[in-house]
Amino acid sequence: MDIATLLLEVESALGLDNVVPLTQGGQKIVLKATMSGTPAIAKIVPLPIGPNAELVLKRAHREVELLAAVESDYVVKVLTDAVEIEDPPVAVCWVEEYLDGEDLALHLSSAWQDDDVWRLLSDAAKALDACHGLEVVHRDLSPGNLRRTSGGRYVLMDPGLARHLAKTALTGSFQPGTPGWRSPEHIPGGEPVPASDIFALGILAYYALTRTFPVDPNGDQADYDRRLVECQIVPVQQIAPHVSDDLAGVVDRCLQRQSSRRFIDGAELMRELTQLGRCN
Amino acid sequence: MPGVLIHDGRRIAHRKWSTDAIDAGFADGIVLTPFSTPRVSAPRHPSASDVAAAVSDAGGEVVFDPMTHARFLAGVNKTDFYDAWELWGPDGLALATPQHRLAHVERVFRRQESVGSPHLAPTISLASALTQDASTAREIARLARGIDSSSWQSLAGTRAFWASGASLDAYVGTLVALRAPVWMVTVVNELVVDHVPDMSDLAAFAGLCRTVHSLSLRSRVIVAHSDYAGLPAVAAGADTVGSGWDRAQRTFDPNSFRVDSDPGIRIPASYVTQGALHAVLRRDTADAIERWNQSQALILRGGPMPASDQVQRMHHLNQLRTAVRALTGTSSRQNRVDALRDRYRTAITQFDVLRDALPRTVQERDKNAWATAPRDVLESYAQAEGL
Repeated sequence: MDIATLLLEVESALGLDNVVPLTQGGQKIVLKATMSGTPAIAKIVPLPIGPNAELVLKRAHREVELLAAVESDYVVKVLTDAVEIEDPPVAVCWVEEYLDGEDLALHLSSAWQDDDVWRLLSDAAKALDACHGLEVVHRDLSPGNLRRTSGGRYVLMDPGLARHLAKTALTGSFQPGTPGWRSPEHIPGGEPVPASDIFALGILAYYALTRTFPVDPNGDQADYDRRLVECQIVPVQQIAPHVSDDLAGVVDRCLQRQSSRRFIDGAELMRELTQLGRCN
Repeated sequence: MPGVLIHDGRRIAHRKWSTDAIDAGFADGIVLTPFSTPRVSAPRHPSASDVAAAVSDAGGEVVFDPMTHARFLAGVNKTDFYDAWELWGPDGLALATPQHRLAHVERVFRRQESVGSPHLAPTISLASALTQDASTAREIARLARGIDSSSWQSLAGTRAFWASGASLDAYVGTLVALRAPVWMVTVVNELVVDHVPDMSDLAAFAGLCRTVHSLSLRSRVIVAHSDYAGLPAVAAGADTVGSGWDRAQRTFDPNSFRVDSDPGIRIPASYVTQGALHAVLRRDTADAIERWNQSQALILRGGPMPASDQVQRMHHLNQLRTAVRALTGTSSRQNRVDALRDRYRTAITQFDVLRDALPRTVQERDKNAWATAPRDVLESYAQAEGL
């Protein structure tokens, strides 16, 4: 099926109007549209020909199922079930809420003030709490997967690589994440846990405050992995002395080499932020 | 209740000695096992229910440890009491499938309920954090938590496991997410040759301390079968050590689970605990110290010379518990480490004094085993933690 026909099929199946392609890359086609008069985002995953089709289909269903299960203003909402196009299916598609604003990646060109980082930590902690409460690990928390809305709220997106702790068969344990934003558990043979998302959030906060990666992803991949596992991060105040003690304490704890020494999940991070008066 | 738990044993007077120790404030409870206490009373061995009732009446804590990590060791055949506990499903000794694990955990929990013990999940002994066994142990732990979210958890491993550095840390990170209220950790010895602790594997015992530190951030930690060798782990955050009067209580001895045709000498001498040295020395050595300087001997022992081995049993528990409580009574991990540093510094100094005064009686190996080696473990852990 060619792309134009596929878009028409999707438009019809999901009841979309005003469809405008936004991006096409990786494994997804993303459209902007309206559904019942409301702005929305449609995502289409074309299924490969061959034995991987079933796996891709299951992953897409799982992503939508996860999003539908998570009830949080800080995780993007899914508006439809995953709908299969044709029988046997050639693609699967669904609709998510439209979020204005931009990806976090566009806001990292200059160092942030403490209050901005507190907001990021607070919103992301709520998002992770919603995921971790369902025993779901996001596994790829990076600037491309967090959106800052025009109102300044941060929303977690794209749990396509997320893993239910008890359901590893679909993806296996290993997930490489995005270079620069990986946790020590992201190395080959590692097993991302909720505290791995906390580490990735710590990297985001660290980078926002210092504009440097706590573990430099450049250079040899094996050496990057080794440093992730063996090296303790330089405390954030050594790079950015202006950072408050409270904020430095939270960021540095997120970035503990040993996952057991971090906040172990979003709930524990939220409790700490609440105690510090930084999470409502 | 932080302090000292008495591990199970087959001495005929085990119940009385245990309740005496708890009554006197020298111990805080017991750890029953299916290897040493029968489910149904046997000649000279009261049933677990009776022992548990007596200990509870004395105000002690009762924990039933299924000791699955011992049952799977090679050559374990001392199962006369064990088999009657019926801890396994129809397929017998097996943990390979979810059904096997569920059958075992459920049976263990039922037995624990019958003796008033908290649910303590079974585990298996690990030689590495990267093996299938490690995954199985974690699955058992998750299953136990799935049945009872407040279930206590166990972690047992050989020195190689505790020395496995970053892979150990990563494994512990997955366990912490279970949010167990209590962790019982065990160093599984592969060979025990005498009653003297062997803490020469610095990486292993520092790994144990690092793990205890991590677990204790959210949980109570009990260091099973550790006696004085558990003190560095107490400094790292544990609040209780497992001990007793015999070697098989003070250290994890695989031979204590085997019917051995040649068990060797199990009690080669009479001993006296020297509280200020964190050491258990032969009675003839204690007598020599007494003859050398009576008042100093009193300080080193921490009390009068035990007139009998029965008195020594209580004296030992009292001295050990005093040491544990001295550490747990401090307000921070840094203070615990500093307090234990002081205690080891004193012990090493006093060993040197004794070596000068009694060179043919007090040996350098005594000082090394009881003071220098555990001090080195503490310092290795503390240095890595910046304490």
